[in-house]
Amino acid sequence: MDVLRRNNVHVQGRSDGPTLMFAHGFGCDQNMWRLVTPAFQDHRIVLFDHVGAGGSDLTAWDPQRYASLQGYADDVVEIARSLELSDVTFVGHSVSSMIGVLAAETAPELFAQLVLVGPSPRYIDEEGYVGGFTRADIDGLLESLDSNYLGWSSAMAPVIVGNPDRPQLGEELTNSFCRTDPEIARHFARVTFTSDNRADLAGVRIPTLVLQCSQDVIAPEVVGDYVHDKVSGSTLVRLAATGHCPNLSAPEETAAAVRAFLDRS
Amino acid sequence: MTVPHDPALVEDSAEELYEDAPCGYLSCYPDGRIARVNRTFLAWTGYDRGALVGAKRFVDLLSGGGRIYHETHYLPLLRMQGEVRAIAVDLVAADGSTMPVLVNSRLHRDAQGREVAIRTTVFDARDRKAYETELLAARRRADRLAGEQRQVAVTLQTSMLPATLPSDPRLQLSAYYRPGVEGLEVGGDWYDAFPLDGDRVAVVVGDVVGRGLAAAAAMGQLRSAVRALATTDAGPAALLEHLDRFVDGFPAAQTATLAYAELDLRDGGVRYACAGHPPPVVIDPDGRPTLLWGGRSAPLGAQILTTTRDEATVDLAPGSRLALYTDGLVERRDQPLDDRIEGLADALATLVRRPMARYAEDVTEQALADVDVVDDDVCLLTLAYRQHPTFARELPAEPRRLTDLRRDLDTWLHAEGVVGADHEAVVLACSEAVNNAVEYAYPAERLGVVEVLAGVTPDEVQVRVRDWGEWRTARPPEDRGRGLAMIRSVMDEVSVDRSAGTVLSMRRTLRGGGGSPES
Repeated sequence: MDVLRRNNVHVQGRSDGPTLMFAHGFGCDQNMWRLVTPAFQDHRIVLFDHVGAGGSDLTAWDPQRYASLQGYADDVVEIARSLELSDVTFVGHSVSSMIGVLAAETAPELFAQLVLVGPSPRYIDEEGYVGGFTRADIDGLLESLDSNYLGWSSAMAPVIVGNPDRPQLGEELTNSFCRTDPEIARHFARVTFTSDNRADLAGVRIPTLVLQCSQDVIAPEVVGDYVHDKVSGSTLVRLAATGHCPNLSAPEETAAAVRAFLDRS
Repeated sequence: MTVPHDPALVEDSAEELYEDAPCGYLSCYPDGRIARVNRTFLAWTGYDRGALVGAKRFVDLLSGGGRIYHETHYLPLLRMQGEVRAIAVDLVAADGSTMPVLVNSRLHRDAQGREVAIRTTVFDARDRKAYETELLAARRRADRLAGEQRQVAVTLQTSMLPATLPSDPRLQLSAYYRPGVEGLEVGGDWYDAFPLDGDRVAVVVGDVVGRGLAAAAAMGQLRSAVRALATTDAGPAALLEHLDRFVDGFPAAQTATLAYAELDLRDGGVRYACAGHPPPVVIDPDGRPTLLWGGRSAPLGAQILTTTRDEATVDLAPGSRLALYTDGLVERRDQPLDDRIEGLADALATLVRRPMARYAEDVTEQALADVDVVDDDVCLLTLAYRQHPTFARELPAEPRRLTDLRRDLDTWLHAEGVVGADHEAVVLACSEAVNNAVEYAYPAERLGVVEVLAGVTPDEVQVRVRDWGEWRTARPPEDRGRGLAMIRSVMDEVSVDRSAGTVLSMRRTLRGGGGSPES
């Protein structure tokens, strides 16, 4: 198994610089980082796609292996090992924040620091915990993933990016970014939005930066505060950027916050 | 010529066109806050203008699932490509009801490239959603039917593979079969092994062109035909000639390929023929592989110029192994066939010390180790030839000779390290079988002969008891039935062949240690 081909790994920047590994969240691929990475060309930058997303090897997808976020974390560890990385600063967006937490727990010798962008260890509200979504919201999402042919099934790609009457356009665009196999996307959504990784936060032993956006409907501020509270010694930075994807909506601010964290530690 | 026009249309102000357009219009700040919205949108959602403008973001008007979709797909795409089209989401109206819509958005930037506004049109998708829901239901039904059909074909195909392989102390067989994983339909590969008489077995592996139910059915027909023709003792070449005539009126089986071999267990002589099939492999007792390139001719039904088929012979030394397989094991688009066959021969040779029970599966695994997706059926049949059973006796069918046999068998089993429950089981089963032959196979006035062959491997004991008598009654006498029941209770596999005399073959996997024979 060629791990680098499986995860469509790309390495840029200075080969002798400190390593920054960027991980994308649910819904897109490594292109999510393209406005941020130019600010770190003095680093060795490692980009990849989770199996099932972007240019990854879809035949490597296995519902058993990826039945929990640990499967994705194991991939991250395998990538780091096959590139013989060490002292990695892992920058994870959205669900990849928790994937990074699990990877650092699995192979602590590889990772030096974590940057969690819009993290949430648990999306569903519970007694004494606010995740931002009710059980019904998530059930509704998963139900729509299973049944909403309009938006989520195999017709998804042309529905998102193109005109069903011009399938070649949809194909062309889905080939450029955010390409997702619908079956796998459904599965990834289920794993992402039903997992509970709150207990893993206490296991983080390395310097950690939490980047929290304003008005993030997926990872609200109260969740960012929770993560900051549970990861001992972590730093919380609130971004002016709104929404869930500061790497796209405010790349300069995001890069500056990461840079400040790198310089400090 | 002037274009006729209705004054009312021309007098429509831009304002009216905007407010009462047949779609919803929204203008939002780059952070998503609503800056402007038209009357149509307000009418659909039931909100006052004041409740939306400056107060809510577009994402706030979506259902839970839609909000996640908005953040994970819609916005990233909008920022990366400047526009998104025909995104399907549900709007939540002021009264909590939902309305499926299709959304188109364009991101406007100023001359410096700064984001200025997101302009969005919203289309009512209720009818389209209902239509697509029906489409989805139809597709699910079709998927289910296709799944059921595949299941039927798989069941059919598997049911036609032999449930048990011939058992004889001089021989051990092991087969591995795996349907292709890519594509929904099963292929038409099969294997079979059966005794021709007490001292010869036939092995065959074949491949029917095509996939699905038709291929599985054709495979079943061919398998039966091979079995029927083999027992006429015509030999491999004549068998293929008969098959040519058989498939003549049976298009689904035409251009099927197969490798067929008959092994004489007394001397290791093999007669074989290949109709358009990859060559069998022999591994000699020293582990050296040889490809059997003899006895070749075209696939079934494709003999255009000649009407006779070739066959060839090879002698197996005791301790040899023979392998027949289908092209799924060796055919790759990116590698020459010869290389793959050499690779298989290597795997067969490397793993030759593996126990036979796992040999076929282990070899398949190794031969396909560098292949990511196996989209064809894979089928491998292997045979280990031992020739000399370590125990062989021929005794007159007389009750008093049974004591001698038991004593000899006892000594031999001890020498082979078969002890405890295994030992008791084999002696008991063998005695019952010989006793049956002595008592019932021959008329009292005619003395017959009973032959006992036994062999032991690291994992099992095989015994074969043979007589040449005639059954005097159609139904076995009660006692003999009981004897057989007792044999079955202590042996793992028992088969009776009454085509010429009676050959009772039985096998017990060694448990080792003590315990009762039934354990």
